[in-house]
Amino acid sequence: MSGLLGQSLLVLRKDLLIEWRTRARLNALIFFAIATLLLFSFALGPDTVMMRKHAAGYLWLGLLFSSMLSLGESFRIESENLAMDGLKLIPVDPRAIFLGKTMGNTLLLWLLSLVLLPVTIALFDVTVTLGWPTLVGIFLVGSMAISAPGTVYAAIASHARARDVLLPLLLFPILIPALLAVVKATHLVFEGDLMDQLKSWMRLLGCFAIIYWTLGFLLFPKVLEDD
Amino acid sequence: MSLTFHEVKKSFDGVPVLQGFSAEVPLQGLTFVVGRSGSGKSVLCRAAVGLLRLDAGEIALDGGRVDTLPERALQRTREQVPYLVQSPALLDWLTLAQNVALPGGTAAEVEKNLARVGLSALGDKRPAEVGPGVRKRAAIARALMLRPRFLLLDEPTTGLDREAAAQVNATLAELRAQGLGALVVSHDFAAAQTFADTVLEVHRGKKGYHGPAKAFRGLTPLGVE
Repeated sequence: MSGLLGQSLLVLRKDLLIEWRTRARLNALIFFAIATLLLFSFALGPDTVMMRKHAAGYLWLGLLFSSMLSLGESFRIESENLAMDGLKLIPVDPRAIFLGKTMGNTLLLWLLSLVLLPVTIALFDVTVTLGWPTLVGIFLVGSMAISAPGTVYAAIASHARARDVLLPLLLFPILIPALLAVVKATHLVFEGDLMDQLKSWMRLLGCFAIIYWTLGFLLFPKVLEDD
Repeated sequence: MSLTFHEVKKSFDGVPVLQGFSAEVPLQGLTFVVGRSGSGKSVLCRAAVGLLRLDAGEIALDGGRVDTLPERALQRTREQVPYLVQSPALLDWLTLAQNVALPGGTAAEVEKNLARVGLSALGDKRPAEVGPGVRKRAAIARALMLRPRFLLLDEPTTGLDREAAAQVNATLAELRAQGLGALVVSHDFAAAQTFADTVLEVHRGKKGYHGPAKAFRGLTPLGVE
């Protein structure tokens, strides 16, 4: 396992294996996200036009709220038995820890979005107008955009006593541009893109993801320093 | 060539643990660090590789400060002076050989380092299939892959039966014979007197006895400075 990529894949594999063995995080995420979507649909009432119009927003809010559980948990497992120290002492490059963790969080969020899609279709009566590959691609880039800053802030918040409150407080304001772009893009896939706006929103979302993956990669060693 | 602690201070939640600890540990031979529980023995090792930041004082490796290094630069220190925590921290889905190979290196190096700790025949076993003593020695072999100048070991024989502990101590003695020294945090006074060249006592957060193992007569009684 030499090289940054090899170390990143090691961290990713470790996280996925822990997740697979317990399945605690994935199960909790799925039920929490479905419950959130159900609550949104009940809150809107039987107005199907309104439900269709706002389906993308509710889908991504459900994913965003669920990601708070997922991101916090990804660092809680490292604080048990000083596992993070074990990684540092192998020694694993801190940037590889960032990449591995972020890839793991992205994958989990992406899978969750795929699970939530049929639920959204059933609850909000939406149709996928622009095709499934486009939607799956948006889910992937959206998951990447949430995961990169989410991993950095989850690492920072993991040292705080009120970490469960601190993480959303730090992360939500940062994510506003990404949330706006991904909701608009998803809405266009549901409702159709008559004005050819999808590319612009995807460009914004892609730029956001690239910027935060780069920043996280560069700054994560400093975050670990403050352990 | 030494690891130097100078007036090192560290508190946890206002409770002072190290209170101006100073010592110079040569990077050769076996130095056993002894002291009562909570005296700060492990804190010394953790601070030496940057897992803890000091409240005051300096730690230097060959004259170069290590306590102020940024995280990425600390990687080099952790390669030169690997720190083995109490738990062997092996990845359970990999074989011992694959665990040893984690820091990088060729298959021949893996085989050589497994042989150095007496585990040539067990490379294809997974951690769950072997005893705790073998896991500790596998962790030592993994550290050897970094081509270290010195090892820091935190209670390497705690929790092991007498035979497994003897094998770990024998491995350390063998490595010393090959020219690789270590600083060993230990509660095992018998092992300290048998295997150590030097004993360094941590007493109430400061240096107590520091000298040849043969002359070490036991811990400084509480109340005696």
